[in-house]
Amino acid sequence: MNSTLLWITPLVPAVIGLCMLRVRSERLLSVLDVGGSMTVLGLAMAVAYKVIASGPLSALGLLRADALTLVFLLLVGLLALVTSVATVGWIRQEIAKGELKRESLRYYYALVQGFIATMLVTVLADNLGILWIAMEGTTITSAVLVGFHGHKQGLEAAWKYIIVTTIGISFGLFGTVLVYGAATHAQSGGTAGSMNWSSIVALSHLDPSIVRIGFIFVLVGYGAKAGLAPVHMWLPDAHSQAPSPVSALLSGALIKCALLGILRFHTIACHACGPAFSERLLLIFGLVSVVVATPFILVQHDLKRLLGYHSVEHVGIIALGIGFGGRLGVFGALLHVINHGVTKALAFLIAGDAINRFGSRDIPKMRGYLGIAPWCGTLLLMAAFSLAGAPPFSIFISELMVIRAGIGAGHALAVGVFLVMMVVIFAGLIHHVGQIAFGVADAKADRSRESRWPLLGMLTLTVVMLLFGIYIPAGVNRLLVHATEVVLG
Amino acid sequence: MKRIQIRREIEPVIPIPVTLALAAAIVVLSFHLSASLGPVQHAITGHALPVGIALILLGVLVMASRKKALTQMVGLFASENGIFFTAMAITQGMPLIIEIGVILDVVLGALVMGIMVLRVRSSIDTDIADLESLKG
Repeated sequence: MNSTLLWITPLVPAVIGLCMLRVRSERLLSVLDVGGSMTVLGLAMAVAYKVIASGPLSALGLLRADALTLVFLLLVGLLALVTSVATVGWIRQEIAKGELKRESLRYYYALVQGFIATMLVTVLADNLGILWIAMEGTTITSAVLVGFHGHKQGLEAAWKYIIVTTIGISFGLFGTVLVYGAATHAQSGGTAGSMNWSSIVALSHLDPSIVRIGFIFVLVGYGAKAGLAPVHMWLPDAHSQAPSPVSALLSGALIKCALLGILRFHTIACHACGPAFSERLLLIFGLVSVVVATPFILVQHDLKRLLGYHSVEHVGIIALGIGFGGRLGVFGALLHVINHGVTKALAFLIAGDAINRFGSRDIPKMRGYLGIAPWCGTLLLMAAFSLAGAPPFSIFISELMVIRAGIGAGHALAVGVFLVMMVVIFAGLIHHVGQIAFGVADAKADRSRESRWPLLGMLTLTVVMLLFGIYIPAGVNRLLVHATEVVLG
Repeated sequence: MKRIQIRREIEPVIPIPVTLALAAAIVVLSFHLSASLGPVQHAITGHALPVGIALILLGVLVMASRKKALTQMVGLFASENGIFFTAMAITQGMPLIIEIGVILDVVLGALVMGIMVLRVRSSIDTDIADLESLKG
């Protein structure tokens, strides 16, 4: 019964997605979409309950759920539900503007469900091969979604995305093969389960030189998928051209799934050759990501690209947290995974609404958003302050933990550079968002009343964002502590 | 080939002699790299591992040095072949279910890429890899 839950969870959206291909009624599609996502979140919570009550679960010898899985599983479930709810209103806006055709709606919904299903498999995978297969599956489904509008820019972004991430994660596959090779060598001959993460971690004498090279390939490979600089070029393109709910899923959930892949191999590398090696690499990649993203955030004039570059920066912060290491660093990084996922999804959903209202994604053409959409405008300001790292929002807490871990580990230079970049990004982001929120709106801007469904989704995320900034619930805290132990082994 | 109007690769990004020199350097590099890989090196035969690594990197080189979408895809698949070859060389191959899954992914990926190339070709008559409007 317990293990059934694990494979049912990704099966639900997959089956619903297939069924959607036969459905033509718009209303029924929305109901299926929201219903499916609710089921996924419900199943994720059931898995969480079982794991907390009775320890790690595994199924079919391929899937596994431990505390680390749960952090990502619950995030994917929550974002799936919220974006489905927000999609209900967003689709109406898009159809009214003629951006989406009614006939292609079922493909859109089916692809989103397929995308969610592949992300769930990524998160639940124990077998490193399954992890890779599901990761490539997310690329394929989401690349189609990125180019879904069929605009020239959309297709260009989708092409860049699929080529860069496919070649990237084929390096990841090579790294996986090397680690698997080391594992079969250590066991002198492979068995069916020897590609499983849980069994590789349990091995005591992996060859350190092979694992080291394997980790480098995996970091470059899954790092490309996560948007770590210098292989982040596709990220601002893809995240800005995708339909807004998909952008929210890409930035909020998908890049976190790739980070989970890196974390799994980080644990293996820590076991085989000590934590110093992989931590050093993650530290460098993280710091480079933060530094590279900063100038692009300052000069950006496209709202969604701005948020895309901002994701590069935050992935960098998570990598920094793991790189600084220690309990506090990893705890902070995992908390940042949740906080950034929630906040960035919120920001992308609002950006979608703003772009639809102004009919442009150019920041200089967007003025007076607070005046025409008071609710969304307020939420946009809150999301921006949270993303920039101001208290009392959740990202402030996790960034503080990462910095504290860095100081504790004696990385004064890295922390210094990081803090300077934070200040610059704070100024840049608040400047851009201030321009959008204040001023007098153009006469052509859409002033219709805000629809309830997207607001419901956004408010849910805002509540989580505020709650985690003020008080981390005891259950979540315990979960994060357990997850930290899983990472550190 | 006819529908996307590709006859011949005529515009490599790097001149052909330089590409060849790079390819030679890559082969030498992969022999050097595999020497440091220690025990897995001789799992089956001595030279299978460096050949596999060279194949992977050459595929990447083909991708980086070509402009047309189709030839980029060829490079990508050469690279995937290299990975499978390496997997065969250093282990007794990956578990069957994983091999099937990976192949399925690669085929699906190729399908999606092909559809994208055709969509761009049919709407604006350029190669998808030539689009360069997204910058900064």
